[in-house]
Amino acid sequence: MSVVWRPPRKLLPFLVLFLCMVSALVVVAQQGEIPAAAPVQSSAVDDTGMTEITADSVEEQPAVAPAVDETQPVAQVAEPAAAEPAPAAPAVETAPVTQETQPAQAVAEPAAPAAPAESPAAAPTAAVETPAAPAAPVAQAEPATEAAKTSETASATEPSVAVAVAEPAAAPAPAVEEMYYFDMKRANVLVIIITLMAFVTYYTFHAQRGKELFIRRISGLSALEDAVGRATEMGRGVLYIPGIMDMDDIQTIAGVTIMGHVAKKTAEYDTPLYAPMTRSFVMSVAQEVVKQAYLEKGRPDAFRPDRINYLTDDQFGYVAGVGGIMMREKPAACFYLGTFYAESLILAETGNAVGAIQIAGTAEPSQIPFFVAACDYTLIGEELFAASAYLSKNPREVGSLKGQDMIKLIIIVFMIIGTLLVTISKTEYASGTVFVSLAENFMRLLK
Amino acid sequence: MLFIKRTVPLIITFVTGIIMIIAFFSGPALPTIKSLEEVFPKWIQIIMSFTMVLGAFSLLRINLHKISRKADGWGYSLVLIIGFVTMATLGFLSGSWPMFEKEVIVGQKYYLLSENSQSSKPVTVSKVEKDAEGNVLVEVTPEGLTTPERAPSDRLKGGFMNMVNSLQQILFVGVFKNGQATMFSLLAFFVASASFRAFRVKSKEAGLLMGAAFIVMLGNVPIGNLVSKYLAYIPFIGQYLDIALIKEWIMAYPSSAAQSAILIGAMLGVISASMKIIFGVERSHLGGES
Repeated sequence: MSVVWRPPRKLLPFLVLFLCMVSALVVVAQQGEIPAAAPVQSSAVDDTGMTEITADSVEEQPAVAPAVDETQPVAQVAEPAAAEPAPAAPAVETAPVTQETQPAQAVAEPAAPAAPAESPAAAPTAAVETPAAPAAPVAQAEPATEAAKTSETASATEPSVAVAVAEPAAAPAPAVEEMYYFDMKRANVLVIIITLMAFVTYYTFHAQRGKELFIRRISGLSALEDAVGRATEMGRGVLYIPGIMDMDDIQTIAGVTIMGHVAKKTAEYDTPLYAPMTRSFVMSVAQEVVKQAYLEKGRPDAFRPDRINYLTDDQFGYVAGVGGIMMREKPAACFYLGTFYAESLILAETGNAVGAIQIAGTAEPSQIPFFVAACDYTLIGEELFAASAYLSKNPREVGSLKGQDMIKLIIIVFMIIGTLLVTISKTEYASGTVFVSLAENFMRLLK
Repeated sequence: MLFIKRTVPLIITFVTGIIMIIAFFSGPALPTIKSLEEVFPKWIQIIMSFTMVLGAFSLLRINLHKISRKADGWGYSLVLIIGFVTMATLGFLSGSWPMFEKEVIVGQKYYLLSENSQSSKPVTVSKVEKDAEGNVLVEVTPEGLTTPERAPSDRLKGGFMNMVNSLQQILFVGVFKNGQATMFSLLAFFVASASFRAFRVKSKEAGLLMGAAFIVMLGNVPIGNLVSKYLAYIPFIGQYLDIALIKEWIMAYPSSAAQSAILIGAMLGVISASMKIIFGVERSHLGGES
């Protein structure tokens, strides 16, 4: 009996994605061009700059390669300035050299401009070898511009040479602005969003068709019902705080969404729900959400809008107010889910002092340790946003959660590949191999 | 009614969200759309300022209701209402007094506020003039002194307004700001009590936390250097036991990596949640089922 191995079908999309990524990297490495930065670079820079950092050129001219590499960023910045008066390729190409060698000229001899002029293509090599040579392309490129005349005139007199060369590069700086419809610097964000949307759509479609999607257990959310049940048994209330920011904060929206689920439980168990707010807009929204939850559970009579009240916008005034409510009402369960700052620990410690079971969640990294130290359960970062899907089990939301997990997986894969590539490229065995350019282009692609 | 409560907000959210996404990705060739990236947040501020009225109304309504019912803790509500009304009145009067400002009369007695408006002194106006920019300046002589001094006219106040300003400053600086500082100071004690509970070694994770926290704390105080000095005498490994360096390493690598991981996850959550809200998948914040 023979066993035929077939690749698991679930892994096929990832395999395809991985192959696409690797092939894209290879293409990028070969062309020496960053897709995201393409409109910023000129063709002249592309031709001269990136091609020279491939493996072949590294092997042939090891001494020149780093210097050429160094000139690239300068070339990218300076190119539009020089391109305005004379957009022709030679003028563009010489501009970076001019700019880069300014300090060298200023520090070195005034005799520099007198160096023999060479072709622009040879400029980078010359720039590395001798301090005087970089001036050569300056002398050649300048006749096209008015500034060049200044340079020529200035070269006759000794001390003013360095200044005369430096000025033209700085003066046309405002002309750098380019008119383009799409901000390519943000292309990476768009790629992430589109990939995320694709995964979300894929998994939502599968979830809606009845496929069971696994979501890992989040203990903080699993304990939510127990906490409300505990408060009911003890005959005490539940305190809910959806952060201290306004409705324009996504964490507040997540907090208010979870509040709806908590309100359903309190409506079911007939437990008082206290929700003092720091923003009146959030109060208004929270009242609507809780009211709807009580209506859905058939307990509109139990809804008490005065328990979802506004206290103050002031951070510490609010903490004092909530602390007072905690000490007077002694809630048996406290929920802090949203954006928190310095007040997080004061709230959590006061809740601990009244013996409440506490569930907290925030995406603020600086506040997470405080909640971990003082609360029974903490939702860390993304778990706060996953709560709604976890609690509702709505296929659309679960699909989005799964899509999010997949993106995380891709990011982890990218991080591992990047770490390996960069680590390998830094070793002595990798110098002169394709790994160096691959690592460089990979990092640029991510940026 | 459902159309107003659900559909209209969903349409507004969708349209606004899409516009903001387009504005985020658009370049300088689309200046009008690009400018929305800065304009829309200003709109949010304007809308939010209107909600202050909503908050004040809610606060007054709930607490007045409590007082009228003599509910438990109605005394706190009474204090709140008194504080609210007093502070609001003094603030309005103090802030809007230039609206009722009369012309400064030479030879009359006024009160000159200090630059931070926290104190005042009685003065007699001896001269009124305008500078090159058109600002009105006054030359005043403080009571009991003979040397005149020049000051902008908006720092001059009459007897009543000086009293209002003083009361407002007493409440704002003397009570409110000190109250804020008191609440913030409580944090120091809460950090101590929370650390005490967190550092009880009940599990391996708690032990790790305790160990890392101990090193970081020791690395932040001068005694850490002294400890490192003595640890250096330990053969073979002593030279590596520099507390300050270990602390730096913990902060720069494990801690920073963990924070980055949390941030990456959180940002993906933010993108996902925003998309759900824009496309109307998540609508429970509108008071309904998602």
